[in-house]
Amino acid sequence: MSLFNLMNIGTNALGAYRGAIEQSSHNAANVGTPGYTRRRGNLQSLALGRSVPAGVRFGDPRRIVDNISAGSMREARSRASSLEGRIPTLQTLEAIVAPEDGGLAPRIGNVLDGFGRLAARAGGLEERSSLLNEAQTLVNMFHTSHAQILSMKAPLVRSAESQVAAINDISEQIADINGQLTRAESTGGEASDLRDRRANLLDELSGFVNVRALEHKNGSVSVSLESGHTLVTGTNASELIATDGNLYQRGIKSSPNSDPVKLDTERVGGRLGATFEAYNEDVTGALEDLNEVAYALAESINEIHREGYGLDGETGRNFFEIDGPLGAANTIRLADGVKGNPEGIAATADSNALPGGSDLANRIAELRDKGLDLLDGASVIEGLSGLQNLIGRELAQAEDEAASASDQEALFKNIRAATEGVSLDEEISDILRYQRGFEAAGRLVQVADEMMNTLLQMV
Amino acid sequence: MRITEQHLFGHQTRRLGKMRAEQLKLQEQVSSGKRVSRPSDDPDAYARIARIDFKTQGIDSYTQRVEAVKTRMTVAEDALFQMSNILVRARELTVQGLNGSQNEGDRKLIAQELQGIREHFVQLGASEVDDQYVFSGVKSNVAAIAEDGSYQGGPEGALVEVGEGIKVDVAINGGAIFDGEVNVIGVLDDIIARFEGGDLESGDDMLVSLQKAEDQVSRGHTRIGARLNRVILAEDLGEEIKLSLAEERQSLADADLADTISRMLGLEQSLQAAVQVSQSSLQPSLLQIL
Repeated sequence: MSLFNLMNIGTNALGAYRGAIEQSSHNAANVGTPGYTRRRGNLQSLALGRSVPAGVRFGDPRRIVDNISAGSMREARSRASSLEGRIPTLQTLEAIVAPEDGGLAPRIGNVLDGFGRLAARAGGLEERSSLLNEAQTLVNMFHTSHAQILSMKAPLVRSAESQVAAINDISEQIADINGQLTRAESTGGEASDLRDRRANLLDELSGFVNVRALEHKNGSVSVSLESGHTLVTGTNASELIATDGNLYQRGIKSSPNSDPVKLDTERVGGRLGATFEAYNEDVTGALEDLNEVAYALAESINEIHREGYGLDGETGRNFFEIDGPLGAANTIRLADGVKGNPEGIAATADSNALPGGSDLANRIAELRDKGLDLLDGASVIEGLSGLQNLIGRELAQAEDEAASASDQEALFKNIRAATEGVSLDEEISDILRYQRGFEAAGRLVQVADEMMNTLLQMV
Repeated sequence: MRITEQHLFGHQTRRLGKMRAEQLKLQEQVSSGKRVSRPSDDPDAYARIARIDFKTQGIDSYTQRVEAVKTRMTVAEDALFQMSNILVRARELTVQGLNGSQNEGDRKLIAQELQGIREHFVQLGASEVDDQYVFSGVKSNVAAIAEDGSYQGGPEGALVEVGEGIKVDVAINGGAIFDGEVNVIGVLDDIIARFEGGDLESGDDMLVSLQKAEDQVSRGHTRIGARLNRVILAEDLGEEIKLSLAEERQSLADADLADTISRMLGLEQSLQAAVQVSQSSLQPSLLQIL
């Protein structure tokens, strides 16, 4: 055994322990860094050849990962985002269709009751004038509700556009890292920081869309959507495009001129999926239901009113005017024959019963509880409250499920952190341990030095 | 399982956050007194509440119509009452005039008074409420009795719904009252003419006709009285329904304050405990030894 070897062992040990302490300090310093995966290197005993002891070395640190939990966490995050993303839209819709003062229902009631009151004094003009006021108030409320719901569309389109821009940006970054990583790791060792960054990008991406990540032997990761469409493969990233209610994918960079492929927005997940669902289902659906109620009410009243005779003896008049079922809540207005012309309102369908006859006024008043054909047998209040109920249920469910998906995400995050996260207790006790080793190594070098001196003095 | 710093702090934050959200919700319930203020609070309860409110609004509308109908019926009733009275007076005068002790001059005076009664009767027949003639049926813009005493109004046919399924006709067919078996004005005119002309051979038929007239008016009075009763009944029924609807609404919508407040207090205690525990569990760390 040579003394130089002794020196060697000491020197190696000093280096090894210094490296180990460096790594533990690095971990400890990053205890608060979100998405940081702890590094672990191995202290390995060294030997020259087969049997000559050479001390210890500090092996290549690697990230300690739990990819399974990471995948589960991302999936849970996608789910939570897909639910949370709809909540603001549903809350706004709820406020529009179910305002504090009751909204459309009492105003519809006022118009129908206005006819009921007309029956008690069908020869009079005051009741007709006040009925026209109630009807105009109702018309205004239909217009307002329609406009408010419609105005939710544009911001949703813009949200989708900005979310898609973020997704495309992340896809490009991942593709970029794939390239860098393959090059960096080709010389051996692990590019830990690049891997950390890529893992964080995947975490971020999963908030936007539901993705699957697959790592290949050369270290690059390919990322695809739930539907199988690829977002990133190797150093190529595809481009997503959002338009009104639709999502397209333009192929990966190698074929930029290929036609964009239409994606199924219901299988996208994440915040982007939520935005599309809010646009295509929640807002569009609410608008359709509102129009349906407006159309059914106007047509049901008109059908009866046309049979009637106004105080001026004219018949065949509409009470409301609508331009068809599409956009009915927007186009509904007082008919020309009655607007500003109270005498044009009919209370009886029998010209001989003028002016006091009330049969027709009663029939319209009775629409309060009557099932309407145009609402598939539902009454007007059932139609309205059906819309409120649908939105309320969707919202309550989304809030509920979002909370539990969020809990799930936290659970997987903890499981993942149990493997990947930094525990200060652990790192600090390691540092203390390595410090001992360092001291011992230093002492060893001194001992070797003294032994060397002893020998030299013998000469 | 390894416990990391992020785990510890993250867990704390989540737990406290949830408790505070729950606390906020309970506070809102206590301060507003409502358990259900939005569909998402309880979708099915909200739907039922919306229907109750719609129905209640309908009943309030019945109340307004009840007032209008009551007024018309009351005015009609009063007029008919006065008509009965003046017909009684007419009969008295006729009996007086038929008495042999009366001379031509006396009868002419009686004829004059009867003429006054005749005109008063026509006026009462033209009773109106808010420009609508009460005894003219659906022809509410025309006085019921014409100059010649004939009925120039219309038939009935102005049903008004004053309660659920309760309809009352606000149009009164004066013809049945003034021009039915006998024409009241015709009877009076006849008597006036005969007293002025001095024809007294037969007087009993006058009294018979007057009696018939009185009976006609009295029957009309009874019919209108019955209508008025139906209206009042409908009003009471409406009040009852409103009350029970209000009760149902309360049980659905309102917060049980005692329950909510005690839950809130329990939650406050849990929050305090959680905060204190977190303080003590986060402290010990090897950092203090390093």
